[in-house]
Amino acid sequence: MSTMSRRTFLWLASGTGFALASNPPRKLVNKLIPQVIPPEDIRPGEWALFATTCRECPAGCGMHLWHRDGRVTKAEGNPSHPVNRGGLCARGQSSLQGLYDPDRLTRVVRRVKGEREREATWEEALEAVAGSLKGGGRAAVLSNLQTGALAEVMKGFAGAFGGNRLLFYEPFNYEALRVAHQKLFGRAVIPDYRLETSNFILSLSADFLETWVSPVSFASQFAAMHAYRGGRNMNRFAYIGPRLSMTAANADTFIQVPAGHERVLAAAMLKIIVEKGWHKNDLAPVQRQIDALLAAEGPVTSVSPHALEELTRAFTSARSPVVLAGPVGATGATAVDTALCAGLLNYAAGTGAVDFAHPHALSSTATEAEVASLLASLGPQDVLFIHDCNPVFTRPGVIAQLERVGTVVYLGAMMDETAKLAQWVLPIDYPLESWGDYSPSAGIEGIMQPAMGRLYDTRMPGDIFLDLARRGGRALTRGTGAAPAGFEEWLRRRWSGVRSGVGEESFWTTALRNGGVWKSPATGATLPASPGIGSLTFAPPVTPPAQSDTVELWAWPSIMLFDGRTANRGWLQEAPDPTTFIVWGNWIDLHPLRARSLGIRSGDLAELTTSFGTLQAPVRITQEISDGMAGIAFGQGHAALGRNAAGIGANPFQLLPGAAGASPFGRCRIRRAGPCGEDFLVRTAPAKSQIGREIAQWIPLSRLSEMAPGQGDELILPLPEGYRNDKDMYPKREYTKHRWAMVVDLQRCIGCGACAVACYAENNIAVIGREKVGNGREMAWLRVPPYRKPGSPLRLGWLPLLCQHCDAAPCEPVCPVFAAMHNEEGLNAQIYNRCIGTRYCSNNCPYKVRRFNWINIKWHKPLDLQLNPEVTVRTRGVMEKCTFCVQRIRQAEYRAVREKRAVRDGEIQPACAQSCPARVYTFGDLLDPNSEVSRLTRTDPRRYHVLEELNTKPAVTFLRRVDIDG
Amino acid sequence: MKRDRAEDRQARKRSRPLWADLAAVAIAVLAVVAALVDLGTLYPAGLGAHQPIPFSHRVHVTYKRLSCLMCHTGVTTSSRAGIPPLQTCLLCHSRIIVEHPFIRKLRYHYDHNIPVVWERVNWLPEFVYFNHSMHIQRGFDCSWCHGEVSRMDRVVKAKKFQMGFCIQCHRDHHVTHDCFACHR
Repeated sequence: MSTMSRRTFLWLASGTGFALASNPPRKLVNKLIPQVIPPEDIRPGEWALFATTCRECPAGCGMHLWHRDGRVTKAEGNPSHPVNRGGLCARGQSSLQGLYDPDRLTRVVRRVKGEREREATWEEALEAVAGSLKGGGRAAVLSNLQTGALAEVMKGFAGAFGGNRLLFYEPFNYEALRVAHQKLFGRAVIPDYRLETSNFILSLSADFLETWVSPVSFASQFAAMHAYRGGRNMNRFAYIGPRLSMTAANADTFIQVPAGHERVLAAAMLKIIVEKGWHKNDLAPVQRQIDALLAAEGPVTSVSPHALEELTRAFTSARSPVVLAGPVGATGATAVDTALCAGLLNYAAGTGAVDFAHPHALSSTATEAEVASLLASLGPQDVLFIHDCNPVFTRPGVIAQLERVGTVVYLGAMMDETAKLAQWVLPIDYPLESWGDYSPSAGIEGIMQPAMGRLYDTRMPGDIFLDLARRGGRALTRGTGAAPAGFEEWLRRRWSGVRSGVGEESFWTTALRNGGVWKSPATGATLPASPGIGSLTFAPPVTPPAQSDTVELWAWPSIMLFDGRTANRGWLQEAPDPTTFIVWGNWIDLHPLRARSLGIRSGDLAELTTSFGTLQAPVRITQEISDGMAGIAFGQGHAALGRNAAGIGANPFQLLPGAAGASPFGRCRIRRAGPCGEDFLVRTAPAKSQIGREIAQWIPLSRLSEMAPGQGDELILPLPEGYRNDKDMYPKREYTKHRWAMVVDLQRCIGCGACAVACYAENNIAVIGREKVGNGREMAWLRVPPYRKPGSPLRLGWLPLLCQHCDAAPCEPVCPVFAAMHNEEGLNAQIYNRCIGTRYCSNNCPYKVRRFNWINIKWHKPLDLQLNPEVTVRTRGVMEKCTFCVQRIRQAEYRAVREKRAVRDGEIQPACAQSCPARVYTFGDLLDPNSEVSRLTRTDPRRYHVLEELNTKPAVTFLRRVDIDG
Repeated sequence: MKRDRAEDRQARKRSRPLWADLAAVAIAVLAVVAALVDLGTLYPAGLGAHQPIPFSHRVHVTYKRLSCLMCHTGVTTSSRAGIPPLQTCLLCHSRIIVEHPFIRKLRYHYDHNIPVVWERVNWLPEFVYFNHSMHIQRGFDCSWCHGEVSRMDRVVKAKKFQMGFCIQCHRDHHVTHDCFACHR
């Protein structure tokens, strides 16, 4: 420490004294800047709502964007949208962080061979690219999946310059499913799965609650289908697959099989169905092939014959069973067989839950062969436009092919691996800033509208293509008539064709208000006939590898990062993986037997090698994956993209060939690469074991079905009636107006973590980075940790844990400055400006839901634009925690006062409850005897309080998970 | 003798220069003005910061009888009262004193879409969430907190918006003492 002279000390002290005495004005921007001409319906300081369509994955959920003072601060699900019905996954909510990403492309970049990379103007870029098109360059367009107006523009563009070379490239294109449906039903499509109408779901490695096709839609339908509604019968869900994924852990029956063996079990089920005559459609033409497959694979060992027969009986006796085939991203021959067997099971059972009349938009993505042949055909005379996809990351072999291309023009929002190789990088509008439309499946037309002004000098991709075509001398027109001036006009012309019989202007404004147009879904769905069923063939069996260091690769898309496009978003990197609770990184899952034989221990780094590439990642030794396999998640391992993504984890895409051989993802060699050291996995819930505390609870269906409403645990309610003179240390609390409370239905919770990310977005929760999370300083107010069912190693239940707003809150009496206060409506208030950071409250909280700000968070510009203006941004030294979204409570209360009425039940939805696709949360007033939350808290037989024995009288009541087999 | 006296008078007159008279008058006027200011009759409600356009609340409210809600439209429905957009000014001033230099300036701003940047007078710390509509709903007059704006030419802060002020009023009216009412 440097010494300070007496003179300096006096100088400083007197200076400070003068400064204080003269009361300097606070450094405030004390200006008021009014609008000149106010836009209609947007008032300063008031929320405005824009309906749009989410484009973070091909599912196309409807989104509501909350806009305030010129910026969007929150993305929510559109409750009236037929796909997601109000829920929105973590990735969809993180679209805000994509919009405000500090690493976003802001300027045109020119990177011509032999010259230094530099910034350029739009004029320069468009002239140069149009010039090379004019000079005979042939265009090829590789885009992420688009439908509607942008697809039309791209199609026109590709047609005008060099012959219709347009491919919609998605790394996960479900080709196996499409091939199987082509063979079985003559339609190479992904049908619409109506899980809600089904009462038995069988998933063959299809992680439909995480990433498969349309996860939010499926999660909402699954929760509706799988919830407990009383009575003895419950809809069931069985999962056959090698890894205990989040979806698998939600199954009532999880059968663990080696990779590629899903088809064997499915074939065995088919055989049972035929033998017992349980089929609705005839399987006789394909019986020979099923027998041959079963004979070649040998007897089924992963499940007892009796259990399999029981499963088959339950499946076929269900009113409308449905089989889903995965895994996402698999290309091997067995993956096609899995999809074939799934199709056959659906066919045999005569399912009414698979609708081929409304195919998913993903059906039009490019096949592997199409992508490969396009990329192989590119040469020096070609101009390749890559729009908003990252083939260099998802197909590392593409680098050599791109180097042969004359000009690569990249249209995107981030400087990702592909953009790094492009000659021209054109920054496009983020979907939240631009016009557009997307139709996730036939009959649903979603619209996209700018919810705020542009942040940077970016353009809509449609406008860029139209402008280039005009400059290239072949202006694009839509139908007859003059060429549209811009993409917005193109879109409007397209939409005037969508309408039917209503006025054009009112149709357009209605579509904008609703987020699109859709017909009410058709009720019945029947499978098409299967003429080609007799000519099916199955791939030969996968022989186990001879060497012990060769394992089956099992790559799975992470629920947070998908194929890696969202990897630069702090919320998603810091959101824990649902089954492992690991943040900021990925890892290799290895079975203990194989780990022992390879000499790999927990905490080691392992290396996976295929003939295509190699990667290193930490090893997690677990029985959650089948023996002889190495599991690793897609999404991490970026070399570019941004500061959050680069350098974290490993990228399994670099192990994958374009099309694998027999097994779903091919094989790889594994070896120990050394100790992991500090790079070892960081997790925010250390163990899944409950250590006998019974925090997450199950109840057997047999017992539950005997119970009448009102039976079950006698809860000590957080109301005056819960006061016991002999038991309570603190005086009775009285409430006059409201007593807010919540009910969390664990049976509905699938563990997806959307609520936790919604909480980050709503409450300005800081992302603090891997190192600090590793030190136990994570800031999540709401966590959804998985707990193991006691005695069942492969059954998990999630327990969303937020502040319990206890009536006798242990945090309150220990605060020396009254920063932790009980409010008049039962909320456990934390007053930030009063908090001095003693952390006594956190020490005394048995639920461990309080979070302390150890550092002052810098919100990198423009991420600060996302901050919710209704919630204080906390500084260092302050404790914070869940408030039940008090800002939303206040909004609703004030609205009710202004409208001179009482607050309606269900009117207030905290951010977690709003975003939840599975409708886990019920929020309401316990003082209102007719509220839903009162009914559930008082009468639901599954009710319990976590750590009830502490007599904290929590306001959050949990409803136990139902154990069907019990 | 008579003539001498007249000459004397003239000489005397000349000996007291003109500036002294003027100074005396100026001092007297200043004293009167100072007295008026001091007694609070000239600017009875105080004098605030200079604004880019000298909009006088006194003229608009006291003489033209405009309601606060005419311009601060958000006050009954929203947390903020709202600073009126320039469009609101031109509701009247597209016809009234159109050629006044400041109205011309206003129209220049309006025509060129340049906002007028006002000096802020009243503000709350960022961790305090005040809602205007709730207080208007309960029948509180604006002047309760904002002082006699109807007598202000240049608006000045009438009350220090510190926690004591808020709490005292809530105490006097027997309304909520919930911390979450203002802090969240």
